[in-house]
Amino acid sequence: MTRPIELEAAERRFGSGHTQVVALHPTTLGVERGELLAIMGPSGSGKTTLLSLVGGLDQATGGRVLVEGKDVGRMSPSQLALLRRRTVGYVFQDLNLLAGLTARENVSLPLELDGAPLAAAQAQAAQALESVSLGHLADRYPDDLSGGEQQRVAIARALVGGRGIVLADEPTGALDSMTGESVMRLLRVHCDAGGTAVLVTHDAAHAAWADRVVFLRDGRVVDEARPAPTQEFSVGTTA
Amino acid sequence: MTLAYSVCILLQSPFEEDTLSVKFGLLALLADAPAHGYELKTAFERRTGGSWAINIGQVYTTLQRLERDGLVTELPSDGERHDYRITSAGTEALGAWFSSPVVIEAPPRDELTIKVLLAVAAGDVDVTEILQRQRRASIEQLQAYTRRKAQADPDRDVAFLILIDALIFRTEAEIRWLDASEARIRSLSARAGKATS
Ligand SMILES: Nc1ncnc2c1ncn2[C@@H]1O[C@H](COP(=O)(O)OP(=O)(O)OP(=O)(O)O)[C@@H](O)[C@H]1O
Ligand SMILES: [Mg+2]
Repeated sequence: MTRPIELEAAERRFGSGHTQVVALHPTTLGVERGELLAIMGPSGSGKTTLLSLVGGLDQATGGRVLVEGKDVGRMSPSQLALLRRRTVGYVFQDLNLLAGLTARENVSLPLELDGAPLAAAQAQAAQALESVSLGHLADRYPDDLSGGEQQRVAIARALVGGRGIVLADEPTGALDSMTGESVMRLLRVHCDAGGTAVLVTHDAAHAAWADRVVFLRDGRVVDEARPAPTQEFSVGTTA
Repeated sequence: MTLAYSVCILLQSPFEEDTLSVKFGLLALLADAPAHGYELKTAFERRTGGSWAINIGQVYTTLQRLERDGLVTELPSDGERHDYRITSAGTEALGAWFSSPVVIEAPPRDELTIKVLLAVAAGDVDVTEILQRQRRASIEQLQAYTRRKAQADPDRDVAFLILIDALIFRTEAEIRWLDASEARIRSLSARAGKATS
């Protein structure tokens, strides 16, 4: 079975000659179906670069990036648009909800762009907002929502329409710990139900919700963490 | 401040925290109702989310000390049970304890801190590698905690969740400290690189 995400020596350089920056050195990395992968690393280490290659927002300058078995680098603009509407949901580092649209309209937009009938799109959007516990705020505009609520709208927008892959760049950045935790629970639920997610975060407590944590430094994967095999831990109440 | 001096600071000051927590833990339980030693032991363990086993001997020596200081008093015994009750001085001491914040003044003197300090000073050790190995181990530990947390019931397991949050945030703080240490070392070597080129 094909993996949902596959990087084969994918590389991203900016500029040329003297001023060239290698944002991502040739990197090979696969993400399994059902996996929640976290990416950690210092500022400028290439996290957003890697995520944008997978989301089809940017093109590799070397190697290949496959999403559901298809080479993102060979897609036409309309195929890329389709990929983003149907397959990959993206939560940006700086949110960008559309200020002129309500929460529900923000969430239903990708479906409408994809040609879904308005009523059906709005119903699905309402359901997606319900799943992030924001059903009651569906008619609010982004400016009238708190940072954490906007964050959850952005996640609902990434999940809506049953897109299997969610890419989230620092989705918990500005949130307090309980709200951040609820965002992580959402991603966990998505993956436990057979979805796939890649999460960029600086926050170790949030990365710990992932099945695997990949560490980037200077554009290279330098290490990887997986949960230790079930550890004995002497706390008794849940037994 | 020399490295030797830093390490000296880290190695001094023995902790009294444990005995203090047991002392006020027992007082807090007795503030609810009089109880005997064994009841106190099991209630203490339950309230600390099952994380802190104390032996019955420690309970009795603590009760003796509390009684000597006039904070608890033994109720007339029927020969079998020895129930204790909190005194008004005990209630006052407990109130003062609850209302004063816990300040951790002693610098951390754990093995990890000392290992990193010594590695930085050694010069010929790859500190970044040591930091990353520790970071991976800490994240894996966090993953294990988080799995336990994900399974807990937020209504029934409050003590457990508060406890596991303590472990999670302490480990997270350790990772932030590793990140900060690495950033310091990188900017130091960047400056050193500029100076020599
Ligand atoms: N369009 C661009 N032109 C030139 N360099 C770029 C461009 N985009 C990114 N870079 C460089 O590539 C490197 C990686 O950037 P990236 O945005 O992936 O970092 P990041 O790990 O996401 O950092 P942060 O944690 O700060 O978001 C950085 O050195 C950055 O300056
Ligand atoms: Mg970034």
